[in-house]
Amino acid sequence: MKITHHLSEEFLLDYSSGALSEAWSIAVAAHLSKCSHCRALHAKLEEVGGSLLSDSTPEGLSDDIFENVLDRLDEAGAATGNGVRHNSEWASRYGIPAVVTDYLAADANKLPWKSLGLGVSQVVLETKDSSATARLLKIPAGKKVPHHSHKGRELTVIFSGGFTDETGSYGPGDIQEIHGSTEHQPWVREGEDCICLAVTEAPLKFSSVAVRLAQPLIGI
Amino acid sequence: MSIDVDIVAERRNSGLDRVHVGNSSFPTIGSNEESKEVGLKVESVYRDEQSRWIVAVAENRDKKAFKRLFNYFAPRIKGFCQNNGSTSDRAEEVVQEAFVNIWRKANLFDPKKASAGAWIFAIARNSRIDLIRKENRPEADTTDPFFEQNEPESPLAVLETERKSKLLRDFVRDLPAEQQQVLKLAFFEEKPHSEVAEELGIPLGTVKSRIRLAFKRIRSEFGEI
Ligand SMILES: [Zn+2]
Repeated sequence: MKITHHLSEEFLLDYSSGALSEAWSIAVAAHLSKCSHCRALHAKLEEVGGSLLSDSTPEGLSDDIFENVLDRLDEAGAATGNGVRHNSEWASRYGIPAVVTDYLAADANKLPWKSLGLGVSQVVLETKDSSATARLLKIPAGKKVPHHSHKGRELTVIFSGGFTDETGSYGPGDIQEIHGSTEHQPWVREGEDCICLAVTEAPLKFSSVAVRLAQPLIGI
Repeated sequence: MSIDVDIVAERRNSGLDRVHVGNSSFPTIGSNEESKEVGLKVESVYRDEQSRWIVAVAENRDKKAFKRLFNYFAPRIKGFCQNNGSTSDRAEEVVQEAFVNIWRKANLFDPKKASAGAWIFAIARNSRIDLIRKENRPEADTTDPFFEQNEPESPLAVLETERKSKLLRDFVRDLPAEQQQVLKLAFFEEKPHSEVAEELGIPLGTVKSRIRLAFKRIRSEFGEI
């Protein structure tokens, strides 16, 4: 997989430190699932975290803490991974990583695809994050998405197909980062639907009613 | 490239991790058929004592080693959490959750990929997100069929990675104060870079450039990563 668009250092730092909220973190982890380059930097940042932890000022603990931990160990078996894998035929077709499919039903036919018009459909991922929304998008091959602008930040990770806009050409594994009021007009590659994960600031951050009504469209 | 390594023929009972020459450390598709264990063991001189404790917990469910890890890291995790404004009680809840997870996940610890401090930091961070923020922590999963595996690394390259990780820890202490401050606000207080700018009363661009300077030094010190 040839990846040309990577995470910015600021986003990666926010993810590694734990500052980034859940919805954004899904996009970062999805890119990391595909990109060994960013994974190497992420590992270095966790070393930085480890170094800061090792150098942090020790605080005295209450007497019974270790005992409490020991009491809980019997119920805690050894871990086998990060959880159950939903290895559906559908996820396989599009190469969608587990960190995303963990949020979706195992059976592809039951995926609650919702049309956004213009042939575009979405599934919103259910998170505990009220500050941002993560959604899986399916945009038909060859589609020219109308010219639109973004408010706030946006992260998009491509799993299959791809698109081109004013900022470059994006294919599987690539991540696109948008800041502030960018205007763009993505053009989906011919031959293959574009399946991607898009994370945007939660709509309630926008005060204008008009912007909120238009949100399904600009949320692309 | 000069790397000091101990090459020992057989030290199965040493409790130390071993690198199997000719057997890649990453499960890459198609590599398993050719891989052969040749009996030569390479043992890192850079591995820290704490890594051995985690390995002992994983392999022998060793409660003495677990207690040692606790004695060293628990007060630091508590201090780490209290930087974030957590009360003593909340911080101790995170400590307990983290240590239950350390016990459970010790078998997933790979000393070739991370130092003990980095691995425990990641567990403490995730426990804090789980307990305090009540959010999930999405992570890339190496067992995921759609995880793009790394190219297999040679045992010497793995050792070089370990050596650099060790150096990195000293290196962070030597960063210029303003770069260190940005990193500390991010890691200790879980502040996204946008909030770091607000808290310090400096422009976002300045925070970004400090982050980039710190990263540039990490890169130049440790080669392209
Ligand atoms: Zn990348």
